[in-house]
Amino acid sequence: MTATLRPIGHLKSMVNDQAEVTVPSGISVREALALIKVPSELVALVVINGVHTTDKDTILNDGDIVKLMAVIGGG
Amino acid sequence: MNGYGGTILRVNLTTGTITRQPTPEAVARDFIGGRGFGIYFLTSEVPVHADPLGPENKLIISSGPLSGMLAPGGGKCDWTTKSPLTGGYASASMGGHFTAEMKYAGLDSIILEGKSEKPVYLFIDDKKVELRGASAYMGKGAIDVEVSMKKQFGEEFQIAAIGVGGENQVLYASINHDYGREAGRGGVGAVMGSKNLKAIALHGTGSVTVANKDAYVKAGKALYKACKDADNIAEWTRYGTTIVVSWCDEVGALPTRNFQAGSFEGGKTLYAPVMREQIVITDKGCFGCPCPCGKYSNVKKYKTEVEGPEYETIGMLGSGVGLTDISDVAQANLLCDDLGIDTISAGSCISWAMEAFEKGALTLEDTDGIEMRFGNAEAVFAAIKKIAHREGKLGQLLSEGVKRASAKIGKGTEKYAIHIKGMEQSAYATHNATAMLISYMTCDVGAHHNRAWAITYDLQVGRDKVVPEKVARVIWLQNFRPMFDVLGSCRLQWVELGIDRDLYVPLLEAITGVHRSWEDMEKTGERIWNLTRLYWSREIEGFGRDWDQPSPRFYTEPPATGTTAGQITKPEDVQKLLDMYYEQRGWDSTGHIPPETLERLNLKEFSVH
Repeated sequence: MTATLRPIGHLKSMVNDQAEVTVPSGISVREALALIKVPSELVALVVINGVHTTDKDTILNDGDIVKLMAVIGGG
Repeated sequence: MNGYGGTILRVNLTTGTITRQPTPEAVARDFIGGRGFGIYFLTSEVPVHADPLGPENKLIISSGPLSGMLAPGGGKCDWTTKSPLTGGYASASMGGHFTAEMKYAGLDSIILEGKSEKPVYLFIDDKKVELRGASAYMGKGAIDVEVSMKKQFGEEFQIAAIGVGGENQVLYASINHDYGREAGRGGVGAVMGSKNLKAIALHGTGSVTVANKDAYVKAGKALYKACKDADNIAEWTRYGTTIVVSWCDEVGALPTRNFQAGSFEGGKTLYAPVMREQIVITDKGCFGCPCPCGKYSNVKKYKTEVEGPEYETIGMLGSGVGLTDISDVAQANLLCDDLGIDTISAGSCISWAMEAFEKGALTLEDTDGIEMRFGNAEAVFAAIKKIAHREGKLGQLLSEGVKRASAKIGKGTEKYAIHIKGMEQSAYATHNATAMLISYMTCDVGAHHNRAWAITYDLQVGRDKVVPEKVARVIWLQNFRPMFDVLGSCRLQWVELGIDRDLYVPLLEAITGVHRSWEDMEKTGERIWNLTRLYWSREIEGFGRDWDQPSPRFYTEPPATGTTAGQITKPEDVQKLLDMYYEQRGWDSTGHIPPETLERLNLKEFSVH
């Protein structure tokens, strides 16, 4: 029962340049980020199975694919 | 010269004289283009202590070697002048298609000087250049003028126009192009208005020679491929800069009620997905952009259409003034664009007035009867209109910017006039983000974010840490990021898509025939940065350390709510940051550039001291 995290950009360098990291399902996005040691406040965008969420307390389900984007320039 | 239009076009509005000169090779070598050309011509040609709104000031519009070329986002245009808002250097970067058209008309810079007796617009169709009467356009909105001129001359013409705000010389008037792309900051629109120049209509059909065509196509394609292959291009294109609204809210950087806090309890209704769902109808890109970040919106609530709002506008005219409906923010955005005033400065002035009103420093008599309270959308709309028309007490007061307005009102309102060097701070709250704070304090136009967006670095190394590494990071960003404004292309492909910046090196070489590594270009960036500093010292008596101080709000008033509740930068840390910055820049402790640094940067010829 797992979910797959896909860090993008410089977030990837925080997980030894791995394209994907597997985490247990049933935990929140915030808890998953803590587990892989990526500071939550550096993640601007979370896309779960293609759907954008701004709520990092969303609970991950089995098989979820989660794209994580770093913060960006803002203009 | 390969990669250049080859001509500097000089338009004297006083005499109506139009002259051309070949683009000086030495200037292209040393300053490359864009904002490099801008500061070179400003420093060299505008007399010391010129009145920013007088005929002696010049408005310098410049393209760069990547403008109009096979470069992602090669549509950046620099507008440099002496700022009527700050009295110092102003350089506003505008996207769209104007700068590409300049290149095709053979123009590297257009230098506007003097002042016309009657309202005119500048008409450029390749070699045909004329000043024409603009009486019929006066009093019209900048977007209305663009629509009219496109109808009259054809869609292929690119238009830059001022609105009523520019005509009335509101000190932060903007210049509109491409229905919502703005040369926004520092009052470039007021300078255009002071010259009685309502608009520029521009069309070019020429080609640009390149040094090595095969290498040019190869390098250009490699850049586009890198953009298209970026993992986040779909999300970036879907939301553009609005992605950061939720993030700023989360980390306490979202300006809330005139920066009284950095998290907004009504913020969720301004987030990117809400905006996309409620009002956005399509994406809109600048010249040659593979990842169009502009969002075009249909605002059903007001039956209007507008490009935007971008993040900065959401921060300043949304959470900054306490609005929670994205449709209201979009409508405020449209009013500012069409009336021709900068959304950032306008938002700051209005939020300052709201705080002053709620604290009793402004009365209904001062506000022409408007209830200037946070969250009052109608008050925001009314204030924008009054500012652009300089109408009534409120319009007059706020049209001069928040520094002058607070000095006039007094009563402690200066403490919450959020500006540096007289320019209103853009949309990042810096209560506890010391790298971003020093970035704002030392920015070369005033409190603007785009030179060194260092707030992420604060989060990476510890937001309250005051360490030399933070200052070094800010200096590196200040030397490097504005080089995109020199080259005439957008930096967002590097910033947002994360493409390898070294991909630009072979492209630039193939275009110009000159090899420049990023290390070389950072040195040019450092030289330009120092030249802008010299300009401030030259123009303002007593310029120095005092001018680099931030609003006291960020070191005396911890927010009561939100992520940064109770957090503050220590006053002594603000000065420590400045000391580190001056030392690393090679400046003295008063913020001036000593002779040895001028010598090292080969800038002695520009020093007036």
